[in-house]
Amino acid sequence: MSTQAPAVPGFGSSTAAMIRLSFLRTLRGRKLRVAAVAAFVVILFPAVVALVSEDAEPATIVSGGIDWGFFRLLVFLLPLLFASGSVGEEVEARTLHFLAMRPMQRASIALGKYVVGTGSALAILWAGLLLLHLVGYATTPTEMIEQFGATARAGGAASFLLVTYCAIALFWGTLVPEAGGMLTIVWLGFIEWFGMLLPGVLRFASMSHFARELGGLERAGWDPVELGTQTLMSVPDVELHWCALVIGIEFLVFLGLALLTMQVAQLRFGKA
Amino acid sequence: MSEESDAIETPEDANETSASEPKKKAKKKKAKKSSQAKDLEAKDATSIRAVRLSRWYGKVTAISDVSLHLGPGIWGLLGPNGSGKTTFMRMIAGQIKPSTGKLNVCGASPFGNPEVLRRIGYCPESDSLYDELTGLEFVTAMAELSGYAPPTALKRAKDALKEFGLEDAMTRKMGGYSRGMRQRAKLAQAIVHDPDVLLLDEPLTGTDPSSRQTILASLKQRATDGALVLFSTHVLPEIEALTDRLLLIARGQVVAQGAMHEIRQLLDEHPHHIRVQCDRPRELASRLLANENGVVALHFPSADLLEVRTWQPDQTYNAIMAQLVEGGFALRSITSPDANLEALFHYLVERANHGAGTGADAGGGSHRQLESAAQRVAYQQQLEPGAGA
Repeated sequence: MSTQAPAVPGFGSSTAAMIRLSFLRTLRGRKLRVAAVAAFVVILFPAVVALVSEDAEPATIVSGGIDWGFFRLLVFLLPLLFASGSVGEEVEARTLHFLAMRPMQRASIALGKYVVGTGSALAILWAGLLLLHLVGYATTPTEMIEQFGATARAGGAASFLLVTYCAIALFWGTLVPEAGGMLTIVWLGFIEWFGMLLPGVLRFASMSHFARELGGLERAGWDPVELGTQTLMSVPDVELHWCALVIGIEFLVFLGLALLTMQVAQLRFGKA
Repeated sequence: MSEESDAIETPEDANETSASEPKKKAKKKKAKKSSQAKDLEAKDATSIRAVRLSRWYGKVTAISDVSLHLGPGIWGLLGPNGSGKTTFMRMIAGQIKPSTGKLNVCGASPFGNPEVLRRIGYCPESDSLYDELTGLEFVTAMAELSGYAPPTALKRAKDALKEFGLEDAMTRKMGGYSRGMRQRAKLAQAIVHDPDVLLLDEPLTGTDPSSRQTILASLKQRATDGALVLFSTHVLPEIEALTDRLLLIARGQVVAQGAMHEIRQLLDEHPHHIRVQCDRPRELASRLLANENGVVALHFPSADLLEVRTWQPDQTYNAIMAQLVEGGFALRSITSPDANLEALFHYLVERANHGAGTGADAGGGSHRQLESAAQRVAYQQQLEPGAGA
């Protein structure tokens, strides 16, 4: 019998098909709604402060909201929601067979899921960020326009960080599908979250530190350090382009590892 | 042919050595070309070939030393739950790698091989689907992932869903589908790209009789068109309704393989039970024991019932009938609980469970030594299609 099946699709077209499928599923699923609620809660606190406190500076409210709500919370939560379980949940639900059986590179599956998951996370992040900006500067329209550049810079840095964290989450999710979320929490919690508080060069383990530098945020944690009457900057200064490069390399390494893992792993199909 | 022509054009006056060399070269070339053609043919052929295939998870052996060759047509993969059917299917579907041994589907290893995967359709056992999608969206997406452009994928998806009678439900979300509808949606995604090898893991679970007929008709048509359909189940009548060719698997081993009638011959290898319900079963028993007719054991399950165990069912049947007539017995019924595939299946499974050569089911006897592993392998080889060719 000469086969009637179509020719093997290219990497691009199979990834595009995977993106279409993942997008449809994400639109119909709960994750977007959960993420929107999380973003709303993050914005709620600075919004309340802006409305209640007469003394609070709008710039302080917005930068505080970006620092605590986005750089310390949402950029960690969104990858957990959209990327860490994207493969694992299909393994758990036993639907991955349908995808793994298709005549395409398995890396297309991971890449399609990554693009949709990260795109959704970015959409939530930017929607929240713009809302925060609007609420924070609601009483000072001039400042709202003047300060938009600063907010956009912080948003760009947060996006870069989010994209990298999604790649890290995807990697752990493909490597250990049944515990991807837990491993992502451990990695992002210890290395990234606590790492951004550490003094000296130890802080360089955390991409969050570099992203904060890119975003023009104040340093967090044990920097600067107060020693008697002296204030010491324990963390060495790094040029912004080096900050971007380090994050970019980490992003590429983790995304590459995730795709490679997906390509060669048996994805727990052996388990009944 | 060109090589042959070259050989013919060799000058006649050349010495013997110089004349024979081009001929030899031509022969070699021809042989090489023929071998390449055979390879190509083998690659193109719709087949599944396993050589000493094993797969284990830690200390658990799921598939053990399986060798077989399946060609186009419908093959029933029969085995109890936990016998290794699904693992075997998943290896063929390229989802897991064998631990040892070699597995080729359409001439190449399926794991991570899109060229092979495009020729395989797989309907997994699990009931899971993307519940948030409609049947049409799901099957269309699977067609797109198989390499069709979106408009073609949509058309093919509609056709596939119609083939399994889901035309009215295709625009409904699959979360609201019944079990049978889910099965049919899974089957539609498996055939949407017209695969040469169709792997169906318990595909009739939850289907109603009408859907069952639709599914069976579709599978038969595909097999007629040249596809290889491997159909796994633990329900014997499902297989009997679909195919004559069987693979019996138990404890990860293929305990028998071949045509139904070949496997039925195995019935003669194991002891038959014949139940006779009559007015004087003990008298009938004594008459049977008085003659040489292959009877090895007699039981009386109830006052009017005699159960005879025999190695020679035909001879024993004749003897029983003769004695019944001769003694003027009032016969109520005569049945054989062994005379179906279920009995054969349990016999083979039991044999596999007890391990080779134990003869646990045979109750002794030197001929039971045929159940050694070597004998079983030899028997499997005999049953392999084309073994005699």
